[in-house]
Amino acid sequence: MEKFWKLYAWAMDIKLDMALYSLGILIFKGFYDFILGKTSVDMLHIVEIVLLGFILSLLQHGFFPKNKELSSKDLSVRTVWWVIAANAIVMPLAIMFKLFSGGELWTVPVLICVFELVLAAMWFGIHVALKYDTHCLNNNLKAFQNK
Amino acid sequence: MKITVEHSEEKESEIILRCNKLDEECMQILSMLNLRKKKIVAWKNVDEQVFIQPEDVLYCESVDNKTFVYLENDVFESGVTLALLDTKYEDMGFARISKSTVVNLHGVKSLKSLMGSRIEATMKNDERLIISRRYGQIIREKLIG
Repeated sequence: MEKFWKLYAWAMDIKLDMALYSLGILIFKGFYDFILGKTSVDMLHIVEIVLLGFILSLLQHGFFPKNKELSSKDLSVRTVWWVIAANAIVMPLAIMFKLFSGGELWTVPVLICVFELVLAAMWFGIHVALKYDTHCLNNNLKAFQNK
Repeated sequence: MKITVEHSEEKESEIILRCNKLDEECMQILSMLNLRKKKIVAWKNVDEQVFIQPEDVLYCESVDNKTFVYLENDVFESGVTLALLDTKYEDMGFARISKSTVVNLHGVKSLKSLMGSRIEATMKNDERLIISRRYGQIIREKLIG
């Protein structure tokens, strides 16, 4: 039973990040298609986007486990592997699914830059913003307990 | 249950609970009475009740309309509702962290900020609880004072 609850909690975390990634890609896809003159996104593409979101979320949780404290060296190594894995898996899949097809050649480097920016923003969120918030929370907790 | 109020000349009021056996209803009455003394009445089986100091409590959880009180190495059932625990022991650091859980902030070892404005609380016995987004903000304000 304990394993089931752990798996359930893990799945909840995965789904939350999957939703974030999927929504981000979907909004960007909508914006991209709008520039190309399309005003709708195919249902099949939405399913593929959710799959990409799921893969990105799995990678994030695989490289940065929630309950594991990482040393700075370990964090750097994992970050590099995370970026490589995300690029190596997501980009070929996006090409295979033809998610961003039909654009001019200049859109390719723009798309790559946007994807790297998304990864950087996610990394900043996980390892800088949340850690700073955790630090503040624990300071406030200690102050409360010492009152 | 029959309720009788008798007037007497004695200065100190006295409550006598006369019952055939200590059933759940009696336990709830005892819990209510002991709240005045700030101790929590709890039990593992109804024949063996204990009085728990609130500062020994790590957290309380409601499961199937029953309240369970978690200490560092033990779990007891209590007749006190979460709403009552939350309000009555608020000044002792008790705070609601989800619909079904009240935590003693003095029993928290550390907090961790999670995505989606949630907070993970690690208790002194290393158990982990999730503070939902709804209650996260209230906890933050409570900690700042």
